[in-house]
Amino acid sequence: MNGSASASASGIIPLSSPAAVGAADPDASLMQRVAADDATAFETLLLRWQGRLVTLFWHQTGDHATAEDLAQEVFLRVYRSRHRYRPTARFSTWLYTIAHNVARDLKARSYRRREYGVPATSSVSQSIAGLDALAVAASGQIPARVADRNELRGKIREALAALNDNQRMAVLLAKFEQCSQEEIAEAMGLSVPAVKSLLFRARDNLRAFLSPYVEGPGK
Amino acid sequence: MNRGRRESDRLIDTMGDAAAGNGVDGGSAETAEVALGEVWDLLDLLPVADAPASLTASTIEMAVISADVPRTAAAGLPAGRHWLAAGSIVAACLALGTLVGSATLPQPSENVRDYPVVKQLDLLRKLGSIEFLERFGQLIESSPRLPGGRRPNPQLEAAVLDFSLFGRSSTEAVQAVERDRDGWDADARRAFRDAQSDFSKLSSPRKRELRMLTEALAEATDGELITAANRWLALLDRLDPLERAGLVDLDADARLEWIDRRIERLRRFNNLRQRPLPGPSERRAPRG
Repeated sequence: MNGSASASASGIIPLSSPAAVGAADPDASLMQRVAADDATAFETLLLRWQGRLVTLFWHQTGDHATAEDLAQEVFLRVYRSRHRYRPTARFSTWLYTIAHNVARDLKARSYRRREYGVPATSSVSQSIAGLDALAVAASGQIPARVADRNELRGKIREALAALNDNQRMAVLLAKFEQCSQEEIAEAMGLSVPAVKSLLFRARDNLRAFLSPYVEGPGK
Repeated sequence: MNRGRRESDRLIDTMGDAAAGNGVDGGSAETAEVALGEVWDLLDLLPVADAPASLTASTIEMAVISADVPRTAAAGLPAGRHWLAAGSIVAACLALGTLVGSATLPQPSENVRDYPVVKQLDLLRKLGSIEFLERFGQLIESSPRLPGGRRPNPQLEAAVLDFSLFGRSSTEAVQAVERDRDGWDADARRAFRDAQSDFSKLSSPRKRELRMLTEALAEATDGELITAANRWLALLDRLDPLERAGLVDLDADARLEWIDRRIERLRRFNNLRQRPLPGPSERRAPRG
């Protein structure tokens, strides 16, 4: 995967030379060492990023074991394409692009399995739960503060699961990975306005579901 | 995290703008923005996962095992000729398939007997044969470092169910097949027809091998065969697709040679490392 052309097209500032890359993005520098078959650099990258990817996929799929498998798949793809890596954009953007593709492939695989009668992973079926049903559940008007922390976490997970895959991925990249809209656009293969719209709709859906659990103005 | 806070503020600003742009008046837009900030902050309650050392170790092992793939013969062709070669093979297979298919239509009883084999042909070809799985199982015993197989493969589980449901030439089996087929959509029917055509092109010994494998998996009460199948599928799943395709076509001996070479590579890699990867006993059990 070569992120150079698409990265500059989407507004990400290209890093001009390998030296600049190393100074500006230590992960890109590590990746260059991985490309030169440096196994230690690969391990360092894993230690820096695998936990974050597990978190990302955990909240994306709702299942920790699936998240570990997907995070591993991302790094296997990174390793396989190490000789094709060109450090012209941030390493993280390249990694999130692969992560997005891996999550999309999981979805495609689960659809194919359903065609042949193989059950989808529980996580995927959970994420298909409709927002309407969840909103009805929330409309019991449980007073804010009553729900304890664990219950609240459960509700947040349900609210995330009710988003569609793209909305959820955009929210997770923005919230947990602090990605800019440009980076999210690059990773998900979308335009920046599309990402803005995605985040706006995601926010709206989250607010519809979680408003009973937050203290709004005047409450 | 300054960058994070800046991005977060920017996102909230964008969303506030969008709310205002959607016809929300000034006061409501402000309220909406505050509520958004709170919802956004609520997401901080979500826990952060850690990657267990076992996952890091297993990822490195898989990367070492699957690295520097010896491509199949087709990979040695100049780029432009790949399509030509693939196209010729497809055209030849289509022509041959039409001829063979029209000449050797299976009898109804044979149709039912082979139904689970055809339905799960891709999976069975990946698994290879009873001989391979048994020898692979012995290898796992002596070489527990081989990664993969942490969880049952759902496709294998569904296939084993199929094998025990349909793998009989009886009236119930015929009815079960009919019921099963009723639930299919157009894509599933097309996939089955393709598999049927592929199966018809296999040699008789290979067909027999796959039928025997199907029966063995359906009757695998001790679980060793299933365990080996799970581990092998997990290993295959993590390989480069091209390498996976090449391995599927190999016989048991060639597959085991490939595995031996990769285990040797893993040993060399671990000997070179200053800090060894955690052993199986130190690995944490996967969380459910």
